[in-house]
Amino acid sequence: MMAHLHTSYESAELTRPPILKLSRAYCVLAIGAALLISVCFYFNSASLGDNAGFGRFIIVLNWVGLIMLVGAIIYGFRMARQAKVDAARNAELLQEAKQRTMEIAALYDTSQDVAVKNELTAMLEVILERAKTLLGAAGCAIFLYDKEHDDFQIAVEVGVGMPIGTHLSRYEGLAGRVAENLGPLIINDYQTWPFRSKTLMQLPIRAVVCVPMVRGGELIGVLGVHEVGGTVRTFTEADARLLSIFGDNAAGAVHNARLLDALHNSEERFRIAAGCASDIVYDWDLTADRVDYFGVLFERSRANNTIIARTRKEYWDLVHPEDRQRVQDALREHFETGKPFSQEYRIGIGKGTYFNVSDRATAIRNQKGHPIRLIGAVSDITARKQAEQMKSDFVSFVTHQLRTPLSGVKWLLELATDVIDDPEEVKSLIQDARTSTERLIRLVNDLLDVSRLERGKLQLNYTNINLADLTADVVNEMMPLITERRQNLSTESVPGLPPVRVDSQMLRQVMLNLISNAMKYTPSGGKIDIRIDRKNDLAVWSIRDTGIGIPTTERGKLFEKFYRAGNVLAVETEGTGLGLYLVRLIVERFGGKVWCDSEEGVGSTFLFTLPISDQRST
Amino acid sequence: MKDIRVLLIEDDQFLRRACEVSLKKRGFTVMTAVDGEEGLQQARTATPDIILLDMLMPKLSGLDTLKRLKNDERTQRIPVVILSNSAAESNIQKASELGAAGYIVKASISLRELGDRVVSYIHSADR
Repeated sequence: MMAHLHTSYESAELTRPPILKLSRAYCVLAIGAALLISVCFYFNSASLGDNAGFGRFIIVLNWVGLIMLVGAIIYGFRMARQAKVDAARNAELLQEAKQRTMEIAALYDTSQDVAVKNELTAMLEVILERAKTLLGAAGCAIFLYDKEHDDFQIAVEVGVGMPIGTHLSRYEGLAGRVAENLGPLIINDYQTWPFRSKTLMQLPIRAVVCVPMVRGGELIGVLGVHEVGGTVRTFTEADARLLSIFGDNAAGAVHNARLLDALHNSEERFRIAAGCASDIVYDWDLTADRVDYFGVLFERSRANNTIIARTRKEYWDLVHPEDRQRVQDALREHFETGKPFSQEYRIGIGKGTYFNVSDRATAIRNQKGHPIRLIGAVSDITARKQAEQMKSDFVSFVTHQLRTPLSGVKWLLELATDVIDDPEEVKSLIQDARTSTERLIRLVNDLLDVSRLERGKLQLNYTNINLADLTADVVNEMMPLITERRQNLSTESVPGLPPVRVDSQMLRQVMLNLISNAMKYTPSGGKIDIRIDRKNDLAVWSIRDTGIGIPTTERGKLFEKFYRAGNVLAVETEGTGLGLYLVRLIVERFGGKVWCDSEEGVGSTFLFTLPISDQRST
Repeated sequence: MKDIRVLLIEDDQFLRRACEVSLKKRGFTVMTAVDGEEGLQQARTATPDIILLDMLMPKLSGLDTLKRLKNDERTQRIPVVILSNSAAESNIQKASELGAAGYIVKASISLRELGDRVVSYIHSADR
């Protein structure tokens, strides 16, 4: 490309025609003067007698010859000077042209650089400016072909002020003709050319030469150079040839810019998509063995100074040793057979901590089908894994809690059939079986309540309730058990507390749960105090026990589903881990809050609030 | 047939009662404990032929009890059969690693079968 450009410029006949005209005029003058003077000398030396008339004629002729000679000399000087100026100017132009060509070539060669995209307009303007100068024309323009609309758009222009951005029909005017024939077209009298564009006919264009811009057999646009009215300049085939070189250049520049634009767009899209995903998207260059990462999770990891693997070796080192072989095998299989790669494994983030991740990837292959890149997404599934673990823990816990009374019932009844001849024993065994059944029913009811409350499906019957009355009711119901355990229970209530608007059955369950918890964890002879208070618009119900208390670290988790404090198992194992969770669900449903104050070994206080219902509004 | 002495460590009163009565009817000598600590003490002093051990218990869990039984030379030769309602794979594996002779899920077995199993465990331990 470069070599081709250079030879073309060097062979270009730049501004030779004016110089030729000058030298022809000079020759005529000089030869004419020399002839006249020679004739004069010949007649002077020959005796002409006293033919005075002829002698005077010769003298006049002699003077004419001398004047012509002087004129020729002066003309010669001027011409020499002009030639010198022209030569200098040509040298300068040629130099500039070479310089620009190199610049263009350099831009062209380095057009892999994204920066070129933004430079396209500037670059095309440089090309136009040069074309205009080299062809000594008034203006120059590029009409880019718009594939999508199948028309032309005036993209860049120097000189005559064409309306940039204007669309021209695909078959309109000169550009249309050039595009049709894919060859250069010279119109030296544009104003009378019948096919000129309606859009551009107002412009004072007189002569014009247009060439197609073609790249890889595809029409990119049309490049035109034009002369305006008032000049006599016309365009030649040589001009068209010269312009073609610029056309090729411009086509190359546009083509590359478009490629880069497309590349840039898709890369941008990729980055945006990767950035939006809560995953890490990675791009592993298999030949260079380099991994690049994108995405929120990656940015977060980087911010946390998490180790980042840059080669695949480093990456494998981070994968949990127990998972490594399996993942490597799956990846190899994907490379070899194309079987989709999707694996879950643990990945180290330092200090023996592991993330659970899900990794899906696809290899990009060369023409031979060898994988050259691997693009994939890694999602953090630690939370999901934890949820799965919780679910499986829940299932096994509930299974256990259901099986225990069930197997009790089963064995007690089996035994009862074995001792059928001892009615007292049978009765006692059946009584035990019944108690086991009740425990089973309680558990199932709790599970159902939790499930309904969680889904908001429980039908609630709201009424105005006096907290002190309801508390007294529940305490009365439990009194036999309290007496049996020789525990002291006291209730204290602030006078004149307005009612709360709740479902009394559900609130009764809250109180039952909290009172039986207090009883369960308070030793025989211990004290339990219930207080009903008011704080602004809230009723505060609290129960203080003198039980084993709750470790500080576990207090926040108490109200979570299936959570059981570590020191609880030492006392009893029948709890479902649902009681306090149910309490929370119910209290929150009524617009209240529940929490716990406790000191391990001293006792616990459980409190809940309920909004006081406004009497006037009900 | 010699007298078979069974130690039953079970915190649930109903299950304990059913097991105890059933095994006694079969002619075994049955000792009971309501938690791991009590069970360990009885195992050391009474040296039963077999121990039936619940998993989820207050004070000392079944697995911890098993570990201590196997670490004590007075009790390490006694076959321990886990009697639990948890069928979690991890529990079964841990129990086996700690040297349990067997693992029985309570809900999946009748009292009659339990008695049969006790006999067969003792026989295989004797051989």
